[in-house]
Parts: sequence; C-alpha cells; structure tokens
Amino acid sequence: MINDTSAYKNLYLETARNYLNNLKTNLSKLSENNQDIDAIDKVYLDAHSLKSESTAMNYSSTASLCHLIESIFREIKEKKAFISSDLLISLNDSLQNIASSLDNIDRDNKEIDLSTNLEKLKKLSNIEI
Amino acid sequence: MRILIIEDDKFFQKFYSEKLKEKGFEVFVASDGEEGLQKVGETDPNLILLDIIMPKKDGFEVLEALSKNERFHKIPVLVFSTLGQEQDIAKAKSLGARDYANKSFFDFDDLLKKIQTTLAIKQ
Repeated sequence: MINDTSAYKNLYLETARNYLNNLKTNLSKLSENNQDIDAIDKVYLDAHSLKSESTAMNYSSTASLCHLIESIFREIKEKKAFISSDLLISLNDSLQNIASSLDNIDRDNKEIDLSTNLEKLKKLSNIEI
Repeated sequence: MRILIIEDDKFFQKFYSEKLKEKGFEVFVASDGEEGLQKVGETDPNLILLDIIMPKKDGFEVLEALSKNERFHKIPVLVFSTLGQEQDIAKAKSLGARDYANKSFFDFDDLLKKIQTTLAIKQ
C-alpha cells in the first residue's frame, strides 16, 4: 500500500474515472455484440488496472470488485464463460456503484461498501476470488 | 542511473517516476510491451521495471524478447504486478526476471531496496 495516499488521491480519481468510462463504453459494445474480442480484452485490462490502483490506495472494496470483474473476463477470454444479459446488467450496476464510490472518495476520502455487487457477481459467475 | 518503467497504468507510471526521480534516477516510461522494447534500444537503461499485464505485448513476452537479444539480455529486470501467484513469479524468473515485487503488498521503500540490491549501488 502507498504510505502517502493523500498525495495521490487526485491522480487516482482522474485515472480511475477514465478506466470507468472505458469500462462503460466497452460493456455497451458487448451488449450489442457479446463476442467482441477487442471489447472483452479491454474490459479485462482496465478492470485489472483499476484493481491495481485501488489496491495501492487501500480501497479494498473497489479492488475486490474489480478483481472479480477481471477474473470473469479472463474466463471469457479463455472461452470458459460467456457474457449473458444478466451478467451485463450486474456489471453495469457494479460500475454505477464504483462511480458513486469514487465520488464518495472525492468528497469524504472513503469508498462505499461494494460487497452487495461483489456477491451478486460471484453468484452469477461462480467465481471465487 | 537510468531506469525504464514499462507499465500501462498512468497512475503507477506517475507514482514510480516521481519517486524514482526524487531518488536521483533518470526515468523513462513506456506504456506497453511493444513501446517498451523500442525504448530499451533508445534509452539503454541500467534497469527495467516491468509490469506483466499490458496491452500489445505483455510482460512475459517482453522478458522473452529481451532474453533472446544479445544486446539487451543482461539488463536486469524487476517485474512488478498484482498477479502475485507462485506460478507467475516462477514464470517471470524462468524468463530472466531478476526479482519480483507485488504491487498490492509493498511500499516504495521496499521496491527501492530491490532496485539498489539489483544495481548493487549504495546510497
């Protein structure tokens, strides 16, 4: 974990929001075509990066949710799972709550609890992290 | 001493660049594996900090390319990633990585010690 997280909060929020926008864009592409390899790869990479940053800044709830999204998309990349409409709904809901969490961090320096989203996605995906 | 950071995440690019420059290193940054291999030739680094999961070429592919290059195979590489699993660490080391640092569980001072050990410099 980074010791002086306050010095890097604005940088984290800027890059995290950028990843979130990319994730939303690519999930939207996947709702049109759930076989879009480029979009699948980008979701995987961006979820991984957002997980890494959130872990470094000690936003563990955000990191856990992003870790699960990364794991789900690794399975999809390896053709061990596919993208269902239920999964897309749950993923979009997760991104919405991550956005709210970033706003909370911006205001109050605290992330919100994302465990409900985490549990829903775990059930849909059968993945444990 | 020149350090090349091959890392796609802007947050970590900036964090590590700033911290290493404060310690007197000359720092170069590449945002993916392909650009990283290009910059190795351009910057002739004393050490490479290499992320694993990146677009275009990943860190494992970069390690493989470096190991096959007569000019670059001796440049020490420290791999840092949040993968953290034993098989990933073993794979990185089998491909020539000198050491491995987990981004999730360490702080900059720990990384600095690994860099100094690898470069065998005393500050």
